[in-house]
Amino acid sequence: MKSEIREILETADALRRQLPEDFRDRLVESIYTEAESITQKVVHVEGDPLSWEERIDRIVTHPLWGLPLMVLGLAVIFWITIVGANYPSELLATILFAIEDWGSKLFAALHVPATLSNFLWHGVYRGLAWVVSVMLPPMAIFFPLFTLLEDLGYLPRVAFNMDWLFKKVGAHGKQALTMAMGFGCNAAGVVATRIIESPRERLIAILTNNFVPCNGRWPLLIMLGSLFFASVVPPQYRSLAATGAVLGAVIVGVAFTFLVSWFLSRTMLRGEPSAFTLELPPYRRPSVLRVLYTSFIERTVKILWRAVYMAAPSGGLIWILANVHVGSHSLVQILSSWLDPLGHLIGLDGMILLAYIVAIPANEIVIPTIIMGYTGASTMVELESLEALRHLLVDQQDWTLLTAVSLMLFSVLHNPCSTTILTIWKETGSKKWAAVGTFLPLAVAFATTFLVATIWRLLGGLL
Amino acid sequence: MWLWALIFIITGIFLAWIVGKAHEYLRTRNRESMEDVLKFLIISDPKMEGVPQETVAGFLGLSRRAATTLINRLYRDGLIRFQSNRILLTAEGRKRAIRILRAHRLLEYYLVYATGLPLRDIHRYAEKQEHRITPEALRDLAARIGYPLRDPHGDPIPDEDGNLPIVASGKPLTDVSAPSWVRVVHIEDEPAHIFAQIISEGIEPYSSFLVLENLPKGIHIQIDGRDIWLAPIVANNITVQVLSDAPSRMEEQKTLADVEIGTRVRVIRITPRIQGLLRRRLLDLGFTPGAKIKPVLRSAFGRGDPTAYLVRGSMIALRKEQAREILVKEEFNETSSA
Amino acid sequence: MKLRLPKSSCETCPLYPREWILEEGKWDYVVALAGNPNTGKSTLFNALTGLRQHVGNWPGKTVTRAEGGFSFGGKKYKLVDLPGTYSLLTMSQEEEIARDFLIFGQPDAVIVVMDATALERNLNLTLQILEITPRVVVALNLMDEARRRGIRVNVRGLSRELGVPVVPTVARTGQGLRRLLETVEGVIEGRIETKPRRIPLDPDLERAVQVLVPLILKAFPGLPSVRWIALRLLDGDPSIRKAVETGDLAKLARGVKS
Repeated sequence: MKSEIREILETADALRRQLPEDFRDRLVESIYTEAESITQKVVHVEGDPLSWEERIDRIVTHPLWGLPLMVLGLAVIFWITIVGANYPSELLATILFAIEDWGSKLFAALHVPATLSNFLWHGVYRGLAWVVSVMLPPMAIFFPLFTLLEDLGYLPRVAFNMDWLFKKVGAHGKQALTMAMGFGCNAAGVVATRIIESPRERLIAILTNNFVPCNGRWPLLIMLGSLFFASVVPPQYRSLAATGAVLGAVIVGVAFTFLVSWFLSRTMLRGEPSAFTLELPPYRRPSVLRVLYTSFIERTVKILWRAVYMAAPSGGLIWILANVHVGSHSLVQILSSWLDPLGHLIGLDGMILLAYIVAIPANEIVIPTIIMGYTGASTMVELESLEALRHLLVDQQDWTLLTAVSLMLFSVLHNPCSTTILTIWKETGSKKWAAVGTFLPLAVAFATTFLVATIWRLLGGLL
Repeated sequence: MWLWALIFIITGIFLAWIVGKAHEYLRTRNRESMEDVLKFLIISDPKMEGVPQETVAGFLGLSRRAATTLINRLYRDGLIRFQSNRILLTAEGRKRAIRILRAHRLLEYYLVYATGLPLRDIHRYAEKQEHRITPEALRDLAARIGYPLRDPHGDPIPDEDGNLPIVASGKPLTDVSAPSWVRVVHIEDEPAHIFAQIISEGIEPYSSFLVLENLPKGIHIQIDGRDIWLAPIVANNITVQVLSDAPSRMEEQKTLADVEIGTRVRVIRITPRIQGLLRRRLLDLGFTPGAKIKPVLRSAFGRGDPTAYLVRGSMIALRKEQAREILVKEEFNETSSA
Repeated sequence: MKLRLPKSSCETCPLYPREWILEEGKWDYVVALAGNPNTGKSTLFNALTGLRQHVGNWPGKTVTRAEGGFSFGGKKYKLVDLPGTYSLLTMSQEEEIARDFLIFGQPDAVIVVMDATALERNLNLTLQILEITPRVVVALNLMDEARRRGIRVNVRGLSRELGVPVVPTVARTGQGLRRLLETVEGVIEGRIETKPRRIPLDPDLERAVQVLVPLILKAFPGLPSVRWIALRLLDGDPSIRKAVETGDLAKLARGVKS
């Protein structure tokens, strides 16, 4: 090092030691003193600048009205998403699967070898079409709505109201929002944790986001709810029971979010830096068109794109598993029988576990893969009616209430999809946290379902 | 025949690996113990008068034989020397010792003020990490937390060249004449129960308070708006520095957490219990001395935790723990103007 | 000589060679966009570049730098959107990115977006940026909102106080953007002179800075923003320290435009 340079550094170090200990405080103070004097000279305020906003804020954070307002807001968003997504989802499925037929016919006419054509159209393409038709419509509805609330300035108030609960488990109130985002897509939820400035609380939010079921997992929860829980109550209460079951699963997920947050903040993340402040920005009129456009491009299309290039190969993999035979059994049958003992231990079976393994890229394809495995079909399929599904699962495959409970728990708690894992890695910049974010939920899922299955069976034996 | 040979080779490699790992572990353990001895010597023997061998062995909690091995090693490496059966640090040893001391105290500071770990837990963490942190990482850490001069116990942190900073020397609280305005520079952490009592009263290094009365039966102080009586035996373990700019009246002062909604107040200062990133952020958001603040909104469910404050034209929510560390006084002269 | 270095490593490198930032002649000028979170900074970015980058009503949306470009008056401008920060003094990741780009990226001009409804707090960052570079244009944004709330800002007065041009804008509707660009052009081409206001330092700090500045200038003659660099060294900023140690600071000194 040159002597001039050493002199600079050494002088700086020596001077720093001579400075008063609070010189940084004083620096900010003198900047603000300056800012104050400038402001006094150039700003004139007429009337109370925040009067109407204060009035809104008082309603929004009212002990009585605050909660109903918040629940109502979120409920409306979910309702619009679920109801609104149904029709376009079906339409999209019809179109996309028609293209599959058309494409495979075209290939046949062109004399493309049948195996290759089947692999491409009934494997790769079908996986892709499935994910797109299930995923796209709800996301295209959910994200713009959510973004609208965000732009309006309402969401920071939600974080403000919910903070007391998150504080108890060592987390940040803004986690409420990243969780809400997680209902749409966990990867988006993980990205959204950027709004949490405090490093420790942000890591907690990232690592636990997976415990709120994203829309790729809703179909399974809804199916189980209507298939198992609805059937044990009188017909007039059926829809209520199904809804209750799904809600129950969500509540379990949220409970685990808090539990794991609490655990993390006391063990693994004890030594991480933390700093809480929350700005409540003024309410602003959002520009609706821009919100629609940008939330669609930024969130929906980006996530969809990532999901697509993950889903396509797994569609291909599923096709190979179903169509490559060793002896008289397909790979699906062989692998699922290997996994059977492990599956049984946690109240499931080998086929379900196998479906979850191949569905790591996208949970949307769990149900079609399971049905494919059970029916011995060569591609992913869906059954037309609930009755047919009940016949297959309950009568032929002996699914019980325990299977349904375990599967719901497993679906809510298990490892995130590969897109989310990648996102965790990118956001934290650390393989370690990506690994924790993957294996911690997996361990939690196995432990919980194992406990439930064991206790269930013990009680069943006693009764 | 071949199979056996293969098994034999694999087992051999595995064993060698285990032995290597164990050796490595013992060596680091050894290095850590050596560094612990050096650190002990520099702390317990500031005047360089030498420490008896038995004291060192007793500190380490080792058998006599193990302690001797360790001490011999330190001697062989040229880190210590003997003077009529007493142990002294060599120049080289002193350098190593100060490096460890610096790491320990910087880590403690970081753990308390950047991560919010309670004071009673930090020692254990720092004790482990001080041996592992690289010089580069340590310098980065020091920069990140703003080159603190004293650790959370109030002990000076040496700089990179091993100089101890010139920290204003203080006197025991029992020797301070009342009334005066003082700042804590050191709290003796032995005996532990007295240390714990001091901490639980909210007296920590860096905190400043007003001494109201100094009587033989005890010392009456006012800290962050609270009145406390300290027994002389407790007060004796607190070293303070008398500050010249004593405020004449302390009664007006209260914490931001105690201010009613809609009451305009002026910031006096942020207490020293908030350091690091959070302190900087609060300052940047405008919670500087002299800033006008008004609590405007309480959270719906947390019973006022968090509360939102209007500061310099924007609304910032703080939790109770933070609001409690911001000292304010009420504004009497400006009632209606915006 | 052409520099060929991986672009991605620029996030961490202490010094951004100008050739990279201009992408080997693709752009004529580099303009940085700085400001507090939630001031409509990214709306302005989108309005100027046409690039759709969503930023909601939240502090701290852009963590890494977003980049875009636009043409104005026959020149091609590269616009770098820095993370929204309240200050440049702490060690948080956002502030480090913003601070390092302002010093080492040597933008031709910096647009500081200020929220007209919360001027006082926004001035904290603005005054700090004025310490780093004189080539600043303030975009006084959210003027419509300020008017609605009965807040009147004397734009000329603010410009006089700060010593740099101030242009009132409403980024959402595009109001004032043309004038903003004209002003930026004027500052870059030297038609508009700036005399940035200095922060009056605490006497102790001022004395320390006065000791350090000549030493730095001796090693790095002609270094711009030397006062700020002295302040950062006193604070112990690791990236500035590294730039001094490696001598990279000398490149800044040479790169300075007359």
